[in-house]
Amino acid sequence: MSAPDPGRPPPLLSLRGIEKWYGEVHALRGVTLQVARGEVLGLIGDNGAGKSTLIKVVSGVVRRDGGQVLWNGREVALRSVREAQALGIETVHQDRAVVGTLDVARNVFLGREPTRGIGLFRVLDRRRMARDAQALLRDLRLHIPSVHQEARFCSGGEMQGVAIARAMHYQASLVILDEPTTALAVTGVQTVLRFIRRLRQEGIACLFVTHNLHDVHAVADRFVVMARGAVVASLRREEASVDDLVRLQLGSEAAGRGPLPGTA
Amino acid sequence: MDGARTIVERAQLLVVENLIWAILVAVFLAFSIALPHFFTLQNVHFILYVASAIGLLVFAESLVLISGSMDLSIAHVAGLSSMLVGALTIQWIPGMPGWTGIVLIVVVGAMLGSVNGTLIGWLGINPFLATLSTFLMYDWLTFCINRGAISRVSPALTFLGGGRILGVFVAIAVMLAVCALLGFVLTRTRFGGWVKAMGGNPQAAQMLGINLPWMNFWVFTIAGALSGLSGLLFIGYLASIPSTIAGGDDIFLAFAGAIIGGVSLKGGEGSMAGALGGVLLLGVIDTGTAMTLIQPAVRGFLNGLILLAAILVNKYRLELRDRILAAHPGTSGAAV
Amino acid sequence: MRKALLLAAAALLAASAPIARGAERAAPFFIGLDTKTVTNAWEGYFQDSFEWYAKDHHDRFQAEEAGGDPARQITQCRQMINSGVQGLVVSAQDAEAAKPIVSFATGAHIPVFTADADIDSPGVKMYVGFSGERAGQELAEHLVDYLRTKFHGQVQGTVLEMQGPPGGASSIQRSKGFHDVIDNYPQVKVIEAVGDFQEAPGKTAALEVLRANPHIDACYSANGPMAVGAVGAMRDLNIDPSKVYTITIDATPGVLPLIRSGDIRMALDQPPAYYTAIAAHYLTAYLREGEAALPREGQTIDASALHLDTQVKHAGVYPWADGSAWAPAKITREYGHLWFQTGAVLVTKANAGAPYLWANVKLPPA
Repeated sequence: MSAPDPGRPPPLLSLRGIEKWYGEVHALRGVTLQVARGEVLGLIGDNGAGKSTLIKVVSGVVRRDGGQVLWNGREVALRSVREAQALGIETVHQDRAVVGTLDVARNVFLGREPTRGIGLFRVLDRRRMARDAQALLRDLRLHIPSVHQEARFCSGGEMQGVAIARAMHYQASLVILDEPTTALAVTGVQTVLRFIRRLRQEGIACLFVTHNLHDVHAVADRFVVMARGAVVASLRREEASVDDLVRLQLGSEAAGRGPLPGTA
Repeated sequence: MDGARTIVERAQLLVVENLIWAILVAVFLAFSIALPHFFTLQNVHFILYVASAIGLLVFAESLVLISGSMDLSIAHVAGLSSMLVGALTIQWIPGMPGWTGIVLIVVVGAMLGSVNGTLIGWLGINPFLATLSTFLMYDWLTFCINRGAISRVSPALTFLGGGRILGVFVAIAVMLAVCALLGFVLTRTRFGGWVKAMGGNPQAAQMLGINLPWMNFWVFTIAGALSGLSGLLFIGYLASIPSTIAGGDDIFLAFAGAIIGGVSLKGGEGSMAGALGGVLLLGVIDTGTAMTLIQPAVRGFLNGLILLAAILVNKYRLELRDRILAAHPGTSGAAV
Repeated sequence: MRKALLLAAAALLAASAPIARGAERAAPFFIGLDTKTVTNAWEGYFQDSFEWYAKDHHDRFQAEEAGGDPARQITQCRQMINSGVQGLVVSAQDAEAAKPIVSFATGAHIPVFTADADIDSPGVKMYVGFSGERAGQELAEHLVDYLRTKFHGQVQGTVLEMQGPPGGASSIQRSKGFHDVIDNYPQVKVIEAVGDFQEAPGKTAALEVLRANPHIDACYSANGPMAVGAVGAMRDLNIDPSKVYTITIDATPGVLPLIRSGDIRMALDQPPAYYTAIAAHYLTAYLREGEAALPREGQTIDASALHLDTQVKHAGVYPWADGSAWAPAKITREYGHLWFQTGAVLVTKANAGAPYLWANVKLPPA
């Protein structure tokens, strides 16, 4: 990686040499990558490549064992979900992080519910939650008829929308999407891709982890390929076609296939 | 895109959501028809009274179940708190004013519960195993303090559990107040929502920044405090502190009351209102079968049979409810 | 899930049948019994006798068993009071722990009588029972006489004492009575074993103790099943029981054959059938006549003074036909209330076959 140009603004997120061990398994080996402001970065790689682990580190769910994280050029500890949220990192998780037995409004604000009153007498501001949730969903053109309905009765795509709405509500600077289109039908996928484009429009950066190379190629500005815990390739959309990506993904598993485009 | 539910469906939903109350009324009427003196104000008053002490245990267990765990030790937390505070205020430090006993029992209960909270929240031990060990330890400790009974209990200690105001047992008011308070916490506070979240989807809860270790710690500590208060009500009911106080079947009844009341063993689901219905049903069944003039052994079997019937009906109601709700989930068109 | 609903309805219907049958028609008196445990034949006969007596007198009754749990005993009594019993007979699990029962009953103007195991409260109307302490003393005297004879004027030797569950009122009394006498003879070595009033635990405890001390001269057992267990232990260790002077309280069905065979020398028997019958008799008399129905302290009651026999056969016998099993009874005081102190029968080989011994009555299975 070339030295940062002092004239240009630093990247939004910069990961340097991130290490993570799970017992004897070396899940992340010196992962280094950057996400620029408003950029959509596609993170691809086969199962076990370490994508989910990296996501968990960046979203604050797990703590890294080594390496640096820089946010807008400043080093941050990033030791908890709250800290990540405070920085402006919002995550839409693979399993949609939805509690089926709570209603939609509750789910949208889970963990950071608005309250009324003070001190010991703080209660949930249910009216505001419902109102804000309705507004969000309307804004994203999601037709869930009632925010008081239990989340488990919503479809997969709707809940994905709810999770993204939640991320946008908190004015994230970086939204991480972990496998957002897996287990969705075609219309659902289109909805998600539409959201991602919308995020970019709003100047919100996006880290999009997926298996689906067509999806990521349709929407990402740049691709990063991971294999066995390390980054093996990084290239811009113009540099690679879907087929290239397919080869990269396969090739990352097979050794000695000759030089892959983009590998430094 | 039909989001509206018909009136009929809404009525059905209302009945189904509150089926425990329908079951309660049905069983109550069945006993009233079969037994003389059952359908009297005095008896209903007694049923409510009998349900109060065990009721607090049901609420404690409900809270823990909703949070996604289980607590086998609550009955013995009640027993040990009672015996410990009884011994302390009556035998060891006789000068203590009676009301301190009331505060102490809740505090001791909370401390005993916090042991569970520490084992489960901070040390990550499986709730079944952790509370099984404390169940055994607390049982033995209670017996160690006093093998027989403390029979000279101060009026302050027995007031909440045995006293009356205007002829009505105070214990009933205590139980209803606790139910209302817990219900409020569960539905109207952040903490309550987080309890449901960690029960319904602990991974999601964690990923959204909810601190599971702390939450577990507090849930079990609160359950302990409730159990301590339950012990206080038992002291009043028994007008003494026998070593077997809150022992025996009480832990099973706590589970039964919670589950009949709609609290799910899986976690994340249930309400205090439903649990209250379960508590009252337990009271009706217990008093009703006690009034029947049949062999004690058969009576126990009967108790179980009625409980089983109620559980089956409750299971049916959950499926029916899901079916009604799923019929109009308000999807945005094609299956997504 | 219609199946579940049908199953539930069926369950409720099945449940309602015995309930409906249980609700009997109005009768002269409604009395309740709460007994501490029903784990052996004696206790079973004790409870059955109450039910028979009530039935014969056309009284409504409810009989509960506390399973050894003092808290449950209180709960059951409270439930019975709520059900409308007019009087209670209680055999207390713990004399101290059962005190609240008396205050609850008194608060509801219900008289409480105790039988076999008393409650430490002046509020009890009368206690019917023999003295475990006196029985222990009486048997200890026989044992001392035997040792004196065996050792030519010296009272010495080794005695195995079988004790009941520690902390229980009965075990404490029976052991105390024995020690009141035997402790006066320091040359006698007493080895204690806890048999919990049951045969199998008694045998296990005796085995352990006898292994270390196989040369015993006598054995005093606080109850019948433990004596049977101790004899079994002796046989297992090849100690000849007929050479050991074994005496016990309670001539249970297991004990009588051993008395006939000589393995047990004597048993001091209390009559379970009479306890509850006498208590129920005085209870209903009290309900009819008040305090006047109770005997006075210092009186001696003969068999002729109490008419208990109902001329109805139960389990093939007339349970209350023979007054000599309990008479003469002395009226004294204990715990601040009246004590109907029944006599006890000394059972030896000579009278082991007597029909009035409850152990000779064949009870139907419970």
